[in-house]
Amino acid sequence: MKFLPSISLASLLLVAPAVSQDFPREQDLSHLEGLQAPALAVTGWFNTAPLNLGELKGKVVLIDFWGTW
Amino acid sequence: MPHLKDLYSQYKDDGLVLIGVHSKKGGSQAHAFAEAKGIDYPICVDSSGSTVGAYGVNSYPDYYVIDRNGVLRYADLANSHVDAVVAKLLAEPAPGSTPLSRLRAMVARQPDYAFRVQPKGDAAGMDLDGGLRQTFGEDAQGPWLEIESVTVDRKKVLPTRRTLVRVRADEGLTLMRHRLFLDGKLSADLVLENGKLKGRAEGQTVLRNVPGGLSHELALHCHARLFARGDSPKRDLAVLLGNGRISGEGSHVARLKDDSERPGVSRIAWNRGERQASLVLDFDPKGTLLGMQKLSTSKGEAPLGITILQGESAETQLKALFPERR
Repeated sequence: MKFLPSISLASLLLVAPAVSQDFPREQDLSHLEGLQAPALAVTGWFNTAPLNLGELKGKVVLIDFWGTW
Repeated sequence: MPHLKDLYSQYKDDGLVLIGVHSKKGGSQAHAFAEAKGIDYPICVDSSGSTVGAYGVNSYPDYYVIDRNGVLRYADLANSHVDAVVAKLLAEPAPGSTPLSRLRAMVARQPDYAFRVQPKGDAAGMDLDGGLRQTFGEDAQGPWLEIESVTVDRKKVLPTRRTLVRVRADEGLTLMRHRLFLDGKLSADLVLENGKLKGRAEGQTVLRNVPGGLSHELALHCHARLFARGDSPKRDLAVLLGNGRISGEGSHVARLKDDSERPGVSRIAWNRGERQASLVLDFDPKGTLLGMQKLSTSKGEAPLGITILQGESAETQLKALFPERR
């Protein structure tokens, strides 16, 4: 009985790094994270001149993929 | 959608770029929809569908957040955490930034509370002139900001005042800046860090904090202004209360002090030196005006004119009094 606590502690330590995401995601796209964001191949800019992610370094960019249909 | 508009207006000056990428399907309606909804942030259309593919979008709306280095940090972030993640990434230093450049940027973002105290036509008034100089620098302890403000009374009623405030910045510093104008000229310029006054000009300004400190909404809830009518030199007193949490700023001769006999009561005693006219205002810790006493008036002295504005409508009243206030 005595060693049970140490086992559960060890398993926590092993598991912790894998689940250390600080905010939840809706799907696992971890292969995309930590890399330069994919370029936006888009058209029809509105409210702005065309934007290029490479020129937005220094900014925090929030992309909202949306639809109206 | 309204939420994103709020998020954008809250953070765009801090470095947030929000891009609404509309799906290929229905893309031709994106502009009309944005216009109808009053969307003011950048919109585009993924007309080939390739961007949605590259990002792994599987439903709408899906949110992705890219940090200041261009790295995709959050892919398909849970919708309810978008605000927190944006705030977290905005707090990270921009590439190539230095502590000094961050201090400059922080100061540039501060709201500028400027109060203009206008002379009354029947008051002789003081002829005040002023100036302001901001200097940024850096030494072994880190960056600093120095604000020097000078008030010169050309009629020699008051001595020339020189205020020197030096502010040091650490990450996460919250700076607020308060400027007081007398006769259209800058008279006092205060800088607060997290609600505490950094530095203070001897004999000129006093600021007291209660637990909780000042918030960004330090906007006036109470403004007390007094002046002597007639030919006597004019004095002004400004008391600024914010959201029940005060702090007081007395310009020139007024000081806000704890009343030693009554715990929790703060008092501003306004004295006019040789003329011996005094006025005392007492406040409770929430900044509510408890009482006002006029202790004495020298012979022949015209009554003091007092304007006390307090409560929710104070800001409106203040605007009416000082229409030029910025």
